[in-house]
Amino acid sequence: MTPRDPNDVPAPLDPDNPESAMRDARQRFLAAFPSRSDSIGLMLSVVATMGERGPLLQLRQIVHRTSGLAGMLGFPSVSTHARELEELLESVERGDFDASRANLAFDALEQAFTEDLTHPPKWVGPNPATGGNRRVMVVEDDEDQREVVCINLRAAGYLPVPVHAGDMALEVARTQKPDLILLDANLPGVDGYTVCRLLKADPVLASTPVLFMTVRASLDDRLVGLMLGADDYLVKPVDMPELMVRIQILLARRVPAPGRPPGIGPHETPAR
Amino acid sequence: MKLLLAEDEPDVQLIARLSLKKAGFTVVTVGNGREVLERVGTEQPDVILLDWMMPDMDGFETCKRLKADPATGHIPVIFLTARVQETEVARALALGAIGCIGKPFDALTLGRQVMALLAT
Repeated sequence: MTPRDPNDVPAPLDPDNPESAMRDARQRFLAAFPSRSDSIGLMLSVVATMGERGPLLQLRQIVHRTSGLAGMLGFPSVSTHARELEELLESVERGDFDASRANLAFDALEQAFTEDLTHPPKWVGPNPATGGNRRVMVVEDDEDQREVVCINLRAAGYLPVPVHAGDMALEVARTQKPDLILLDANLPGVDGYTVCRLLKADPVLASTPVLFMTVRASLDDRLVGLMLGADDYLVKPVDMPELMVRIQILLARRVPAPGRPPGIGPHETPAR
Repeated sequence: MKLLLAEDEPDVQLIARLSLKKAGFTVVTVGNGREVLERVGTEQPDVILLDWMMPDMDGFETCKRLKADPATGHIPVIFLTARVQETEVARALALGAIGCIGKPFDALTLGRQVMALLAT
């Protein structure tokens, strides 16, 4: 693997504060975890089939780095399972590689990400300098479902902005300027797909992440949602811990507006 | 006290550098063992912190060469490693290192850990 240029790491907001650097690094780790995990899974399947002729060195390096970074950045269980996987990979060259155990370790690593995310270390926050919670707009016509999502958002420290109809979504988004929009596809009047298309055509709102939450589970439905510009797609019934993780990842990926730092939630937003 | 830090992961390098700086060290950073050998003569560090696994030249080989050179053999070397099993620590000590700091390390106390090893 080619080592990254150290200059790739942006300067922390407070250039002399290690905790600020750790919060920044944690956000990068969080945002990159899905692709990092995909890479590990893909390479693991190739190594399981091809052994040493597969991308063993690259796999060991990415797993090693994941273990080191995760442990330092408040993902202890991810680190432990990555270390376990790293040790299992050492047996590939000996010819007694146990692919089943390696796959189990990889599955555990992925599950550990969610667990660790819900138990952040103390240095992550809360940060008193953020000046308020991140706004998450919830466009959902079913009152019970809307309330369940809003309760979970509040519990996670977000400020939910409930909207019950598609034809109100655009106007509320313009006035409330949410950091992220959760959007049901099946809405009375203007449906969620139309709302998404209008949001993404609006120059001010286009960069706001949109996550569909819908019973429409077919591949065609998901593709339509993503092609309209949605950033993620969850099929109902939605698992709340998974929803919170996806929200954090989407917010971590978001490019900050000028003068505004990137943030992924009330407990993970760096100091201004 | 000047510390030469060799670590290939940019985020880990940055956090370790800031943490050590906050603890009072003057920190010079490099990304692999070969750069350690290139810089050690001009920087004249008081202590070297080596990641065990690095591209190009790993910590093990770097330490071996540092200790074999009369000009650098006296500089205390500390390993940063996920391999903190007894055999690996013994291997590091046999090479002439003064100790190991386990990875993942606690970035907020890294300076104190280095000082503790230097004091032993």
